[in-house]
Amino acid sequence: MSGALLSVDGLDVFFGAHGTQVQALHGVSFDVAPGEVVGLVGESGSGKTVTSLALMGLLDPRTSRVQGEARLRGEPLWSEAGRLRPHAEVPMAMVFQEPMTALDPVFRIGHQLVETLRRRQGLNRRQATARAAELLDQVGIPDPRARLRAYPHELSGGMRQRVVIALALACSPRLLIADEPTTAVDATIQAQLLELIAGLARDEGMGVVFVTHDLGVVAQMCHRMITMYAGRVIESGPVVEVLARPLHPYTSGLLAALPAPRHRGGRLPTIPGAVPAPGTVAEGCVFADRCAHTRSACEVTPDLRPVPDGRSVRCARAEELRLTGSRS
Amino acid sequence: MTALMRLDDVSVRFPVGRRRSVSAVDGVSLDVVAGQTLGLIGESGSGKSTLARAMLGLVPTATGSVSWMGEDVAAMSRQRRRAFTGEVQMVFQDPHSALDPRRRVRQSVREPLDVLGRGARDERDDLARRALADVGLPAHLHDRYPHQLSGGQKQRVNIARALVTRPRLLVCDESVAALDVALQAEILNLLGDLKDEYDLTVVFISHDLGVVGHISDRVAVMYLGKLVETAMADVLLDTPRHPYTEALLSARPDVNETGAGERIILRGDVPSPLAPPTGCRFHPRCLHATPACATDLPVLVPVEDGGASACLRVAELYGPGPVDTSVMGGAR
Repeated sequence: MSGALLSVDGLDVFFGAHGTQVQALHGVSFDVAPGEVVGLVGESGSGKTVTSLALMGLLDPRTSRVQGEARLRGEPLWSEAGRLRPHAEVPMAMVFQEPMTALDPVFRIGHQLVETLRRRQGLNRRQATARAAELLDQVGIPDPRARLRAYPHELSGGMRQRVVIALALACSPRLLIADEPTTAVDATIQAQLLELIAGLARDEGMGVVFVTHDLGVVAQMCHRMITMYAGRVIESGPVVEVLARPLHPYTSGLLAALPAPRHRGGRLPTIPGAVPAPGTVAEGCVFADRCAHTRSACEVTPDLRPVPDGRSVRCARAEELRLTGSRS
Repeated sequence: MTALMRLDDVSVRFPVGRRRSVSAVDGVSLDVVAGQTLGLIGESGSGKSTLARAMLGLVPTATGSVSWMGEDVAAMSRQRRRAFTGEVQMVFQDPHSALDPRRRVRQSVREPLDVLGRGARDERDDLARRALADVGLPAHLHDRYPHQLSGGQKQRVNIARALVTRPRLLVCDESVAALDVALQAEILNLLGDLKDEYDLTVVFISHDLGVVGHISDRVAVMYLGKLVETAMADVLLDTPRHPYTEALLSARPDVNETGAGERIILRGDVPSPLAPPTGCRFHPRCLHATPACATDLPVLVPVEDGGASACLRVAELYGPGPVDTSVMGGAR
């Protein structure tokens, strides 16, 4: 797609040195358009975070190997030789899950913002301070001038996460990768942060990769969703369609396992077993041993194949299964 | 409806520096009804975990009393208190840190019995194995160390350890918060089964309305140390009668509603419990606050369908209260 802001093609990640390697990502491919929020969904160990770290160039080259292609606005992020350009020139940024560890506890938040702006935007101290206050204001921190002098521990969890978002916005990224940015904050604060990120995508045309395990957040925030399992994309498509009519049994299973306040009591359907460890599945569908619909067709390794309505799925039986979706 | 545990005007204060203290729980009166599951919901700093610890007698209460089957917990003799610990047990949030990494899980599960000095060692071992079997941990895993188990298996061990003393009340403090959706469903199902099998009364603490709504019969909502609303779970989820509950419900991203929709987004943060707002503690963030809310202290008043709400404008916002004012969803 030529209109894509980010396009990832056949991303493989291998971990481990000295000959023993495990493959953590298997040919992950997806696009993000400007202003689009794409949800990356899956359980722990599904490869969502590895995908975001690989795109940010944050995997240690001594212990990992990244293959495949990723382009931001048509420009490759890396080549055979490694990262192509210094970080400062790549208009993308990341928001991490835990705001306390993403900020340096010994520096005032103003210092951390100003330092970033001076190094990467080449502003002088006065300009950078003014811009830092502007950024804090943009993410909804009251009295930003005074807050610049605060240390991270003096702020609440929600405030800290706003500061982390402000830091990510410091260099006007075109693409924001948000890795579970609201998992560590309270419900009412989560609502504020989601609104903030959705607003940035809507008003600034920023593309967002939103990593989460919370399907509710996906329903509210994202335009498209990508379900990952064991390092593979197993389903993708527009959120409304995928949630209403999931095509992969794993997506359907995740939806069913979710307790919904309006459907109380009783037993929740579960997905027996656990995500297989990387490198343990050689042949056939990776989800087969946990799937309720496994047949002989599942012994052949399925490809991620396109299906109508801009969707794709990695399940041999997608068409014959009539899976349960959300209960709207 | 008999109250297994009764909290009467319970406050818990922690000293902060010299001569200052923070009220983590402030004047909570609540009944834990035998055989029911009571959900406690609130954001961080709401006092829900502190209230749970007060129920178990793990923190001293500054005012009020906790009574267990009619007996004041604070006034129990040492011997009686020991028995009480066996009757009330807790399952914690983080399955990893709640287990001793240097002990085999069977030893960890046996430990409460060792401490209570129940029976001979062989019998205790048997009971531990039985509890582990009851939570669905296969026998070949009973002699493993915690690091050899998955997160879900570890949480099963924690539940087994809480059940081994045959408690009547089980307090689960965010017991599924650290688990993935599929595992969370498994543990919720397990708790449901065990509740029947062990004839348990459960207090379930969570910040997740979906989880609380699913498992609870009755829900109590806390904000900054105060009880703001209590009602039967289905009633509370359908017709919240406190602006805070309403905002919590509205803020919850629901997988059954795509798109942003109309949401109540509260301004600002939860204020510091060190300097709680005057009047109604929720008034600085409340969409319906009036000047009176900043000065007058709301008390819990009965509302329709057997619940109670602590909002000064409750009648105005949610309709007049019931004629029969004796039932308040276990709150007093």
